[in-house]
Amino acid sequence: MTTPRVFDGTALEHGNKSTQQTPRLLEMCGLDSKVAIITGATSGIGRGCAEAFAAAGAIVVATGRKKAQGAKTVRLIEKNGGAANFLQQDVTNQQDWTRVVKQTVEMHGKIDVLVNNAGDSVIRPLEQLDGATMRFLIGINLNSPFLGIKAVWPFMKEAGGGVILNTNSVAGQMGTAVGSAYNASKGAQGALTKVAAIEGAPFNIRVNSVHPGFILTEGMKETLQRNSNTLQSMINSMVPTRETGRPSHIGYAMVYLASDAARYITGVECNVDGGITAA
Amino acid sequence: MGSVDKKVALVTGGAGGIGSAIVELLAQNGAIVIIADTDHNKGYALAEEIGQQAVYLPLDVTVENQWLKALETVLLKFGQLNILVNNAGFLEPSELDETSLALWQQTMAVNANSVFLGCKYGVKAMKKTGGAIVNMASAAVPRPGTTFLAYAAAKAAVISLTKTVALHCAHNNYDIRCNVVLPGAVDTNMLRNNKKQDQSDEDFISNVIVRYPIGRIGQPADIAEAVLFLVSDDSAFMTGAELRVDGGSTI
Repeated sequence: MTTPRVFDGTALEHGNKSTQQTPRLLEMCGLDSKVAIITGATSGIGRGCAEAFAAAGAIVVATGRKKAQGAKTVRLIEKNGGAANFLQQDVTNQQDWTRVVKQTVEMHGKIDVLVNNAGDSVIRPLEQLDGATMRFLIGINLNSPFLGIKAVWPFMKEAGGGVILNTNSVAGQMGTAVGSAYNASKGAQGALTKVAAIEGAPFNIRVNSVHPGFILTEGMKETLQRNSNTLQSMINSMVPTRETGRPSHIGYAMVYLASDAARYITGVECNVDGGITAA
Repeated sequence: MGSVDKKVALVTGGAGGIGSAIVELLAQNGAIVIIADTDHNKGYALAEEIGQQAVYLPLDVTVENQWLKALETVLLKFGQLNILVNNAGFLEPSELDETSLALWQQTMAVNANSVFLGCKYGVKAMKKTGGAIVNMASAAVPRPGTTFLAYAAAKAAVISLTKTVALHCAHNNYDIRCNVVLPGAVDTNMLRNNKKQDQSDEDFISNVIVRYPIGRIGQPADIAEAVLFLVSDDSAFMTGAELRVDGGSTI
């Protein structure tokens, strides 16, 4: 050893149990003044992403169907010194996409990042699953990101690049009981992500998917109450750390992937799942 | 003031192309970095260049005894180990019929045995305080071609081991995460050494990037950023995960 150092004995915290460590989001200048559209940002993972992007210096355009919840997302961001506005949007509606993109460009002049986060899930065994539910989940989890990608594509091409991030799921990578339509829709979303990455590469448009495991959102709490046995036993058996994650965990991964630090990353699946897909 | 501030990190192959970029970025973000390598000249020079945040530690990652001594020294001098980056690697491409058993074994030793030893003794050293381990695999694992043979096989072992270690730590309630980076072609000596004698640099690189949708090879900094993300609290819910940093070449 060249220069012996004496440890100063400062206590350190790590991993999930650490809440006091400041992530290096603010140091990542790659998002400073970048304009990010985040769908489904009225609650849960979407709100977590919106807060993370705003903390990293981005200008956030939060979208969703519920105005009051959207306003709350904006308030939370502004309270922490960030910049955001809310646009009401039904992601399954192509006209809504046209309007959101147009208003974003009018307000902020550009679109640097799109986070296709809005999604839904239905837990039901195959035998009880009907065509309408399948069509609904394909509509929200596959068709909507498709519409989103198409809506921002011309802007990103002309601007010389951009980043598209799709909120996927561990469900899109594996077979799980009672997930059929949900898993299928997320698996399809993953394939769409990969094609978009290949087609976007010549235009400096990077496209990646983030695959959350069990994230404790209001939605998940509701599901836990409705199907408590099923979901809790799933968590206990599937998650090596036996913990659920926070929306901010997904937000941090999205911020990294959107930033310049990830300029060489495209077409990848980033698992933020407490070890589910390693088990 | 990054979230690796004051953390103690050991980076194997720390004097190499990717290794030195990792060492520099961790040090810039406040970590105390132990540069572990067998290239003493480069290692000492890098430690001196970085200054107070870095020290050099000679370490042959294929020798079990050296791992034992190295981690003993780290704990003695620094009190703890928070971050381990198993980055040391070795690449000598060859076709199936040209690959000797000796080359296979050497490739396995430097790329895979090293990671096993590092994780085994690293987890022992880290389990009281918790921490993060990042292993270096390669985009050659899903797409080995014919000449990456032993290298890709060894890196595949690294990916599997990463998951095992992640599970082991979770089951035993050690607050240690373990993830793996899969770099594509990165501009280092290890890559450029594969250039044929009569080939120009431009020709060599343009042959490599044919399969890279992004249209360029990676830079050591790209890999360093991925490592920093995976050892920091930004990735606190990630364990057992693979992160490809490969310009889209494995889509």
